[in-house]
Amino acid sequence: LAAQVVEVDLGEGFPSSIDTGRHNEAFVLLRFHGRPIGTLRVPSEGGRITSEGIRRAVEQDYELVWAVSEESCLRRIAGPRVWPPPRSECSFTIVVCTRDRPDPLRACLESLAKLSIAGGTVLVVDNGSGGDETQRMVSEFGFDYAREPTPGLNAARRLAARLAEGEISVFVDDDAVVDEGWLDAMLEPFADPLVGAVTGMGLPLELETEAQELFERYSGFGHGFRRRVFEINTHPASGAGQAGSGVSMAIRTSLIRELGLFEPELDVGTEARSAGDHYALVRTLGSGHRIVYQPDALVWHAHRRDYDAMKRTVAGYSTGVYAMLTRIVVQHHDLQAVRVGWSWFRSHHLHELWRSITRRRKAAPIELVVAEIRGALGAPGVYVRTRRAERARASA
Amino acid sequence: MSDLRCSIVIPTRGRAESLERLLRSLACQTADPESFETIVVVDGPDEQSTLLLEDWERDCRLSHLRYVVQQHSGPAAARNRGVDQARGPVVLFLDDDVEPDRNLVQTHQAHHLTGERIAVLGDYRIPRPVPPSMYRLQAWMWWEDKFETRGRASARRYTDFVTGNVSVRRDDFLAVGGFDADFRGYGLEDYELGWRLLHSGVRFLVDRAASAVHHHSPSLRTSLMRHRDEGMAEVILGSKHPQLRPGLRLMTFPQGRLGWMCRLAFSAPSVGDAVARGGLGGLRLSDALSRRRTWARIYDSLRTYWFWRGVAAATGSFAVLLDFQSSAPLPPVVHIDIDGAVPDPDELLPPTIRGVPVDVTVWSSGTALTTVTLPSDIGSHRTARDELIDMLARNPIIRLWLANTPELEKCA
Repeated sequence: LAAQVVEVDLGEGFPSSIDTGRHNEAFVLLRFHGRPIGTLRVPSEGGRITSEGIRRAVEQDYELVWAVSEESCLRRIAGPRVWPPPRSECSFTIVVCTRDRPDPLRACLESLAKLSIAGGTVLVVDNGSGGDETQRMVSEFGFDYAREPTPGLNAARRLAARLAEGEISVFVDDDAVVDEGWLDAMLEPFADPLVGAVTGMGLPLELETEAQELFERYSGFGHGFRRRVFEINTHPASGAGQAGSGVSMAIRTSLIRELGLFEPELDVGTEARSAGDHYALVRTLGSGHRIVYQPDALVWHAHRRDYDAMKRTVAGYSTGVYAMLTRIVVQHHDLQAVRVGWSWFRSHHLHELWRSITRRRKAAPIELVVAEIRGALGAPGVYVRTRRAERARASA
Repeated sequence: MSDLRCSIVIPTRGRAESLERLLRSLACQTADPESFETIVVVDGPDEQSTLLLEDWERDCRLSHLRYVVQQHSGPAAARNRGVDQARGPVVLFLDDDVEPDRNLVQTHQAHHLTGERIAVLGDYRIPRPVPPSMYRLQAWMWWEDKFETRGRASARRYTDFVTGNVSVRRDDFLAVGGFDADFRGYGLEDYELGWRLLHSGVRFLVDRAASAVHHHSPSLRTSLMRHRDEGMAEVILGSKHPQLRPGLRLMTFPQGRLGWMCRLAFSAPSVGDAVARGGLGGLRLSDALSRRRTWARIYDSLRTYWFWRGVAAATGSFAVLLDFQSSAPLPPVVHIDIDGAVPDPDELLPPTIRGVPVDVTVWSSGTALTTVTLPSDIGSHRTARDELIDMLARNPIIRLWLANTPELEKCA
């Protein structure tokens, strides 16, 4: 059932067949002269996929055919497109927040070490790991290291924004591996000073277990291969989560400091369990800045292999999102968040629930959907408790 | 007075407080105080400003400060009046609601040392509003975009010329006849002068270091009235320079429901105004409920309505407007061949037709494939060449012409 994740570049021509090992199919990222343009699934024939098979699969997907023809038309008219995209001249700090996960972190840092990071630095914030293995690994790579004892991803991000020397803070999760064009693509939109944040695309690093397949289908980090620009005139601020997530997200450091975008009571490690990134994007959009979703900025995210861990993560997402929306309504008096919350509840949770009950094809297991809904229903209570914690911190 | 290098001309009306802020910042410029003079033109009776200026002049708080009071006749006439009084070789226009940085005057002066025929365009950005009301956010975003795209664009267009913070040689200004005093209300007198300056061969030079803070504070109602004034001003601009008509807003009448509302501006303005007043209430409500998209939609309708209200007031009837539109000259045409390298649109066009839409006829292998129209604001989001390439690649006819996808064929 699992799939082999492979990359194919249409521009360079590719081997007549790719080995898929024991997998039934391949999850293929299609590139065009370096630039990612789409994904597709190709069934494996005798442990391998062939170029003919890929071509057939592309031709069945009109969106991909359109994307290929557009790229090839652009190339004919304008000559080779520059890849990776030209970086804007802003200085930057790449921030990786981690907690006791040396193996994925090593893969992440290795991918960062391959980038050209002239004009910036890499800062790893250790969010209360036991032992000094993380610190040793970071110094091995020659990156900066800081320790944040307060548990919580947002506490770590907050420290990072305080320490960051670059104009742009580029966040990437410790369980993600970045693509070679990632950094350039993340920085490119910041040439426009009205752009406050840029989000990138996340694809699965591996699809080895059913849980990973399920996560990718149900709650993956890909938001399509079209660049999108979010603006307050056209998008409700509270719906900024559509733009992407903290897996790969860059925000102007000055804006983080000025607006206090990372509240320590939000996100992983606190009761709210997620959505600290989402909250930062909402506030950025609400302040009048643009958010650019940049599909050229690609990271490969290691989804949880274990079903129970995956279920906890997914339920945590919904707790976090609704707690965050409650916060937006109560503290920022943005009533549009009610509508955003309801429409998400209806179009995602109720829709998935209906699909599970009626046993549609590829529907998620009902207990996953129920866990998610329970997470959502508990969110207002979570908000009240986090708010209390926040007040306690403010008075301390 | 031989070392006087520039004259600052400030028209003002009923804003004594911001005028004083401006004068104070002029008093602590890095430029030698003897190297510039300041001429304030009070446009119409304004006791407060006059008293303030009297005080400043008496106490000599700013060297070479002078002021004139004139009958109210609009900012264009006021600026002309100021230039009449000016003795420096360069005139620097500042609006009364800007607050220059300390080195602003010096920066302008430095560019004019060469004696070239240039106009120096400086920034005057609005501080980001906190807390962000929708209306202030809109204004902030508009000005940020304006200065950003102006700073980045490879070619200058007449709409780059805005008079809040700009300096030009006095001779160049007088040679084209100064501001056109027919523009009595708010707006477009600066664009119109920019057009004539570009035509006379003056080069526009953008220096974002010559910057000022813009304390922009018109109320929502005032800003809507400015859209009406802009409607009136577009009619004047289009009558004076028919070749600019293709790029003006008044060439495209809105469609649908909004179109019907704008028709009211011509047929029954009192009804239209009543509806617009209702819309203003809707704006307040949606701002209070933070319904930002609703707000943006209503605001857009209102400003469109008031724009057409102004057009209606200037033209008199819908028939005159149709006549005005249909008598507009066709946009200029240029040719490109996609078999070769796609040129930069800015290089294709003479400086004088920039800011006007252009029809581009696309050729390949000796066949004229299609015509695409470059909008007048091309190059405002990315470089003009990139935008042109995107337009070409999206065009269905060009797509069909280049229909094959060799990369996909290779896979077989």
